[in-house]
Amino acid sequence: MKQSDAPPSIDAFAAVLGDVECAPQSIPGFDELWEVLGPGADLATMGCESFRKMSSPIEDYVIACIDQTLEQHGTAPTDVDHVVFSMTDATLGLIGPSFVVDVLKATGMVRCIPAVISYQQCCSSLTALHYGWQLFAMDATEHVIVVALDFRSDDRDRLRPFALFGDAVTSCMISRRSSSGLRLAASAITMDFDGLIGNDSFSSRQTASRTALQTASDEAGVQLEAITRVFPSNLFKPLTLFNSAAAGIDKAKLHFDTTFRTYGHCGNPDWMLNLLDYEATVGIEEANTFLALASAPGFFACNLLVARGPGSNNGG
Amino acid sequence: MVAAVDYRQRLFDLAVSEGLFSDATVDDLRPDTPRGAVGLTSLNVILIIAKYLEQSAGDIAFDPAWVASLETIGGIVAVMENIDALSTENVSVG
Repeated sequence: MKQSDAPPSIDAFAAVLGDVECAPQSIPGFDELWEVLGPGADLATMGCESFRKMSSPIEDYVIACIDQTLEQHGTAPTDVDHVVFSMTDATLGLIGPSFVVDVLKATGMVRCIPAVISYQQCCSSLTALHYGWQLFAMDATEHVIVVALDFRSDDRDRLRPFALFGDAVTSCMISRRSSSGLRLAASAITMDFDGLIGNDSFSSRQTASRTALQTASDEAGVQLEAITRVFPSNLFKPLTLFNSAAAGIDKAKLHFDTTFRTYGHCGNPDWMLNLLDYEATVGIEEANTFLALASAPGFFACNLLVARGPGSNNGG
Repeated sequence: MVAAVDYRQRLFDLAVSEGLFSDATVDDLRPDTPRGAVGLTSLNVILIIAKYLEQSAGDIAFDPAWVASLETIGGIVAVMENIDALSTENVSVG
């Protein structure tokens, strides 16, 4: 089989978190903010005990994360064809005009084509993975790096009615070279305009999530019950549990407790952080099926991933 | 004769015990009142239902079919009644 005929695979996941560990109560004016934005209940019931913040420019963390992915994969930076960045609208507004050039230069990825996926809030990284996967429709594509990043420049912006934000970057490699790793079996996203303008309801959110899940399930030919584990957005614990239940997902399949408790909600990197934690603590086995989820006001996205075994070649 | 459960009062007491009501009174909780009108955010409602499930006898799972009811006080109360009905079934079958 020619290299270009080999199906792509996703692996070499990496994460770089903010280097400063903080307690939520360290946020300036925390008590007043929580009084206004919180649900009235104690923060302890929300499941988040700390978050990480970055003390250096975002480029430093993105470069370190990409370096980890390249090293794990054993790929030279000049062999990367495309890099796809994903971030929330807020982060997109914070990065400087030289961001891409600085990252490409520092990592040595001087031959690759950069792109950014945003405007889908925390769902952007799932769309970025799908976009990166689709680039393999071109025979010439051999290596694509997908990067998810989100950070806040003002600590007072970290607290929201649905989560407490931390800073993180995650990345992974899609390539034809790996015979293990994950296959993207399906991807779906739904948009609920009422959610974008703050007029959504329990029902409209449930419709958005169930429509996306049904689309992905049909496309992959995999029933929700057959999913090994689910990696959701790390929102306040009661909210994550409720959203999942409303979507018809068994709460026992969720993997997010530890990452949310330690890092808070890191936006686009969340699902990869949860996947990495699962890989480190439980391990990924051949044919395991995973659901990466993201939800945000106005959006719901899901990617269905199937683990390949070493030497297997189960479709592209 | 067994006295009927006053679910409106039960919802009020639960919300107060969770620190979710500051101004509302039990009389404000009319069946057709939207949850937002008495200051209940969606997360508040989620916390109330989660607490009610936790307090119920038996291991009752949240039913996705309940979601559509959670926008009004009457709907929230109906979900609480539903949880109790399931709880009673669970207890009676051992």
